[in-house]
Amino acid sequence: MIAWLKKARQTRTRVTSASAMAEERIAGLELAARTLCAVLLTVQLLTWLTLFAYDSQLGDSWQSALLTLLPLAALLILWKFSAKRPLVGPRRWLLLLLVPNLWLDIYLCMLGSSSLLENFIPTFPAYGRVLVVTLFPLATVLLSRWNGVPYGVFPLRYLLILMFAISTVFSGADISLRRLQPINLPGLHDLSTGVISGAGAVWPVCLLFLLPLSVPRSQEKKKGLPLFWLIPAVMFLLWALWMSMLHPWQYGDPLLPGQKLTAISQYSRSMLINQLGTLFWTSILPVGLIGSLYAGQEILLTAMPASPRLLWPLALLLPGAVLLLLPRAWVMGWMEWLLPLRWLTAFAAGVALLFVKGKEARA
Amino acid sequence: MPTEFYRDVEKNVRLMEEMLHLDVNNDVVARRFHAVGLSCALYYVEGMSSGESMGEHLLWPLQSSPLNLSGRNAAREVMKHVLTAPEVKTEANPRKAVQELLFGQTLILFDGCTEAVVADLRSYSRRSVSTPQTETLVVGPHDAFNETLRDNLTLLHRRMATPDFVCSIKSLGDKAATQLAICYVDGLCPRETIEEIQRRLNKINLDQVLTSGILEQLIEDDPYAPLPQMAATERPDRAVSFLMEGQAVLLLDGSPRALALPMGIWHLYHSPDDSYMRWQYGTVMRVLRLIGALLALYLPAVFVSLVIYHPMTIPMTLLTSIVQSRSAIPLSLLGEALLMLLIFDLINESAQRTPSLMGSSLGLVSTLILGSAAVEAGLVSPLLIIVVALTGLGSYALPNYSLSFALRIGQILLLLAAGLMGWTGLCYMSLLLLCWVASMTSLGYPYLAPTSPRRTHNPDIVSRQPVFRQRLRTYVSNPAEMRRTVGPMRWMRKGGGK
Repeated sequence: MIAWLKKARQTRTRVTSASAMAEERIAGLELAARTLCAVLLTVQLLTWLTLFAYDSQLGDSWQSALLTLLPLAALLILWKFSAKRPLVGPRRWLLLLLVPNLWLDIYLCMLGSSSLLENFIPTFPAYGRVLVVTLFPLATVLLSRWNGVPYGVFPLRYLLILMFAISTVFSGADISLRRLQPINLPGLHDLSTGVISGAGAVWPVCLLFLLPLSVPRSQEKKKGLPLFWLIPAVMFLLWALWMSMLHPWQYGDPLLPGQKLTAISQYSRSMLINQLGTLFWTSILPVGLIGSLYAGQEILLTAMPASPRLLWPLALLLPGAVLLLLPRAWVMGWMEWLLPLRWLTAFAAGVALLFVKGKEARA
Repeated sequence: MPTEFYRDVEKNVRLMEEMLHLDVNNDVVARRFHAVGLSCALYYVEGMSSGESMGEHLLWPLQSSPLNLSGRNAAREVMKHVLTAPEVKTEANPRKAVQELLFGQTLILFDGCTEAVVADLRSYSRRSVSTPQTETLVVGPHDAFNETLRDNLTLLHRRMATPDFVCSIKSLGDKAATQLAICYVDGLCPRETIEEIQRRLNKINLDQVLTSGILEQLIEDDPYAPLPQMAATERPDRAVSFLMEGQAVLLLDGSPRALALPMGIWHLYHSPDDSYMRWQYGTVMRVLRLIGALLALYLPAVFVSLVIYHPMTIPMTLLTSIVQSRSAIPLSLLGEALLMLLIFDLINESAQRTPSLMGSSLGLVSTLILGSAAVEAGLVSPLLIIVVALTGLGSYALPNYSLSFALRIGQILLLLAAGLMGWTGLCYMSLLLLCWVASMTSLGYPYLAPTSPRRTHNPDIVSRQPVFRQRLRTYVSNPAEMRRTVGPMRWMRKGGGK
């Protein structure tokens, strides 16, 4: 312990010059932005599993989750080579391919968040719920200017992990290992359908290579892939395991999205843990929503530097209007088809970037 | 307005009469006399110069001097050979000379000379160095800044015996100038910091900068932000610690507090007590303070949210007690909480505005009488009084007045969000406030650093480790001087000892 205290890294510094300090400043921003991307990835993976996969897969959910790491790995490797900085010329336009994905992400977060609010306060009017999930993120992104979102989310990382742990491993929910289905019991077809369905949720891994777009990359070259996807993947697998072991919930009436999200905690024996578990979703969905807005703003301002800063936050109005005006069940039906396409668009953008990069290298 | 004094002293006298409105202004003393073979005019502001020193160092040497001077160099000759005052200079520009006069200096004009002699014989009534009012400590020094710039600089100089300590004095305000000292340690404070401060100060275009609060708003990064972007202190020891961390300190004449910049949120959270006591005690105090801050910010919001929207979370016995105590109350819980916080802040504010002897009694009496009367009248529940009292205690635990004030505003916003939208509102509002604060900067440095974004730092954020582990200055210092010391900072035990 004493030795650890003596050697703790805080009392040492590599900052001995102005350039080293500038490098540290960029590294700090990169760390915060990548942490935000990890949160976005976590939100999408967990939301997909809870809202779309579990209903059909039940005890097989963990198998789909495990295999969903394959499309994640594919995107990770592709974007590692394609996201060359700085993004100038035609390459910055290709980033616009990711904008529809962000819209879908934002819609999912808004849906989950408003449904949680409905779950907690059933008398809260529908338009009021949409206003809450639209205006608060809009105000947050406008007030937080350039880097407020990643810097604001960064200190929450341990709190989110703690709340995740409370809502799964410490929840004391009604789980049993016997409910886990053996590998490949559902058959290759069902499993591949599950993986294709879940592939769309892994796309935020591309953002790890993009954000923050407003500053140059730090000079520090690290070999291999950034490990920021690892914690989301572990959380995803844990969540899938817990859901697979959970007493199935779909026997009664169909549940609202908000009820599905808090299902594990609902089965907890302690009411306090139950509420703390719901807090995980109540806090991570707004983070996901605001993070997607921030990512969209960065992408839009990189692709079209002359566009006004207010433009992208106003894009919230589209998913907000969808949430308010269209029937939820109808939109959810469409979402099952639309969400997997996010992987395709991310993959297409990656390949196009790689192609342009190769062309530039030849030129 | 001429840029130089006239050679004719009569013209200069008329110029001074015009500039200082001497026909109606009785506060500036003008005296004509004959010395060193020349007709002279002496000016000073009544009450700002010492009569004794003036007689001893100016009038007596002048009038008893056998010299017989003439021409342009008279002022310089007098300064060199006649005057015994320790701080004397010449000034050719009438506007600048008048400014010096108004700062309390004494002016002498000589016939045939285009320069005035400016002698520093200032002696005016001032508050003596006393104890701090808002930053009291259990241990540690008890002296505080007062309203006189000179005294405040002296307090800093006493603790900063280094030739690298620089005090650059300039005037602010177009109409009525106020003196400002920019203090920093050359080498430790980055040059860009000083240049940026100078740039912002030069942009000030106001008739008068009366207080440091006004100055703060004129040069801070974002005047609409919820938290202060400069660390204000009335303690010289704290100002010195800021200087040694590579920050710049601004002292404004007439303001009993120094402004340190750039700064981060942790500067508002730390107290000098932390470093005067053993590091373990400092850590415990900081943890207590953090709990206090969280209580002040979240307790009313969480209480209202739990009782209104998530009552199942509360143990049944407590819930029964809450429901029973609220059964006869006509207000909603949110309204009740807002009313109680308003009353609490009102008592707090009125106690601060009343004389100190009455203030504590007023606070006590108001709290006791109003609290018990409100409970008896069925306006509020006793449990809510406990919640509001704990909230108040939490905000008082913070060492910085601005921070506790900001927390009170945040507390109301969170309470409203939680009262209207439960957990969801609380989370959204918390995130909004957090991202807003995270986006703030102080002189361009991120506000939540070194925690977010992460920067190299000492083990001195929430916990405080031993002083010999505090090897670094903060991230705002000159990177070349980031290390305080090289090698061990204390004696090392050799062998097993006795």
